[in-house]
Amino acid sequence: MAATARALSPTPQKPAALGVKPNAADKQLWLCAYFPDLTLTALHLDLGQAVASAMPYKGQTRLHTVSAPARQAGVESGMTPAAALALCPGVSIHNRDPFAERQVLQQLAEIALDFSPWVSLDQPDCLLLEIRSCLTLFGGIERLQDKLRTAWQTTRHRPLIAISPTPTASNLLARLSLETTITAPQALCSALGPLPIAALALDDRLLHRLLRTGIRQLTDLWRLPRDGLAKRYGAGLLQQLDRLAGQQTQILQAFHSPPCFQASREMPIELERIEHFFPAIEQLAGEFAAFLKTRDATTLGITLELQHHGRPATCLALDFRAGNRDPKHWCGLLSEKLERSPLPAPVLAIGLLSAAIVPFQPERFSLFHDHEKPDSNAEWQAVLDQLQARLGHKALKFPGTQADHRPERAMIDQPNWLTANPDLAPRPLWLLANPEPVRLNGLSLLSSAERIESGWWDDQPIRRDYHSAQDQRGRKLWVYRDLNARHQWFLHGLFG
Amino acid sequence: MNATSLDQLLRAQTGIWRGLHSQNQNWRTIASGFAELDALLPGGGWPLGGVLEILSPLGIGELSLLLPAMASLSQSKRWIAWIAPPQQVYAPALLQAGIDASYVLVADCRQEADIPWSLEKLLRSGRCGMALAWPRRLSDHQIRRLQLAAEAGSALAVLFPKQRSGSGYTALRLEVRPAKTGLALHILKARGSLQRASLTLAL
Repeated sequence: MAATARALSPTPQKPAALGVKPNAADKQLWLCAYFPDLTLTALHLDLGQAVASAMPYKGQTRLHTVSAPARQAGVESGMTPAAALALCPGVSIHNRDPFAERQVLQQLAEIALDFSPWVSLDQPDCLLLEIRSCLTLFGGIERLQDKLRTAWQTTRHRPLIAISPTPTASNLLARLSLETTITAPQALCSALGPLPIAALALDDRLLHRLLRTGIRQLTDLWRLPRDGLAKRYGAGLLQQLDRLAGQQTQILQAFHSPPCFQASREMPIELERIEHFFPAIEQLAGEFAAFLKTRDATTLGITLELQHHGRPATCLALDFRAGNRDPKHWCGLLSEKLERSPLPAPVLAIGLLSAAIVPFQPERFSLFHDHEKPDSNAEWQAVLDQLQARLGHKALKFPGTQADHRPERAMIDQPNWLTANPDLAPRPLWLLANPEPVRLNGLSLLSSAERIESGWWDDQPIRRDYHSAQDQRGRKLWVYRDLNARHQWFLHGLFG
Repeated sequence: MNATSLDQLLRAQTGIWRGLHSQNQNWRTIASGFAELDALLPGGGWPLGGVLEILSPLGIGELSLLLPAMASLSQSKRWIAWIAPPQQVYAPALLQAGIDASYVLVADCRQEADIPWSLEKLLRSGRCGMALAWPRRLSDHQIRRLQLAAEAGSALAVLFPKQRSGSGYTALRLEVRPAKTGLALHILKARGSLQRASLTLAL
């Protein structure tokens, strides 16, 4: 009986053959993978060349990360680009792209999800994995680490890996390029002790104050009385130390890979006519709608893949203007697309995929249903979807205005509306995208000049005198005299 | 039976055509914003649920005829759709005309065949109050389809054809020419009226 109870116990005994002796099994063990060259590799730069990434710092551009060849030439992070170019004339400097970095981290996190269910992106430039729970599965820390490195080998990103019982300590060690493994919580303080306090994320003033009092290493800090430390240097420092030592629990957010849907149907024979294979599309759409409904989600776009024999598949992509989960609407749009685009070959298999899945947002109704029909907005969005599906992705525009005196800049393609300026002279309904040179004879000017002189702060300054005019055909024109271009006259708009 | 009750009786009979008296129309209209023009149009305004054809050169002020109606439609939360406009629609001018421009939509059509299709979709939706288009030429049956769609959505379709067509299905056809003091309008055809009127509007 005792044997069965042991076999069913939730924390199975670790096999003694493992090289690392696991300590208290209820504690966590955090693996930190820090990517020192992430800012460079995210920009697809070649680390074998002299390259550097730059970012604004206190109003100046400073280098952030430097590749090894550039470092050999004396370039360091924190330099200005001018200094770097003086030291190493061949260095190419690129601005950081935080969005691309985030995307790369997410890709890497998806790979890491094969190794641990708890992957966190909470700390910048690194991934944190809780590995205590999955050590048995992968056969120990060493093997897990090797497998993880191999899995990341296919990407261009090389990590520094440190393992310790607290996420903060792992992060600190990895950032200092100390690829160590500390499994016992008791060993943590002594292992971290000799590290310089500059490694902590402290602001410069606090760091200098600590250094002036003779505190150089973390052990010096741990030796000081806690209450005095908090009183002199603030509770933030104490909190950091506690997190490092695992005396304060830190809960990290788990990363979940974004949901996606993929389903396909094989056709019994090759089918040519739309009405023969369309029922399969309807089935797939129904499956996807059910998938969305159980997750209380909607989709922003779907892709239909039609496989042919010995040819690349035909892809039809639909983008929706708002989250949608109505299979009839999709099928309507898809059948219209299919009817308008002849297929190159008979269809062997059909696949439906979607990665743009977003939470469902119910339509807001007014309490009394006074004016609008309850479903009118959804219907209108469906009409716009139909137009967009046929006319193209950028065919629908919702013109808007912005506060700029330059006529061509006063209009934007976003629904952003300012109130009309009552003092503004009448504007034409048609604006020519490119002003046309015009001769003044034959035109009669109807208004006095409206001087528009603006834009000296960016690179497109204008100095123009605008008039409304009428030509011999009776058209009402909006013309200007360009004071920058030898007083030449241009036609800029038509009063429709 | 006095004259008013006789008139009411006749008006109730939709099957009786009353010639020059335009009161027997039963479609909705929207005031054009020009009193002289409204007096000549059957029902006292642009027909909501009909195709309006305007024959005019571009840029003489033909759109200013429609601006007051656009403003009142957009303020009652109905969309104004511009389909394949010949130039950029300049938003600040719409704002000056008092149009609630969060209800303005511009659709670019690369193919001529997309224009009547888009028009029909928008007109039929019921949310669109006015749809303007600049087709090269539309056939009779296309105009008939647009007329039906406009009736279904009680919307006004405005066509500025580049070539003259002789379709009998438009509800209203105007010819606009520049005049010294404004615009010269000729009503070539108006559904529900045999009148062929001309007037000059000062804009």
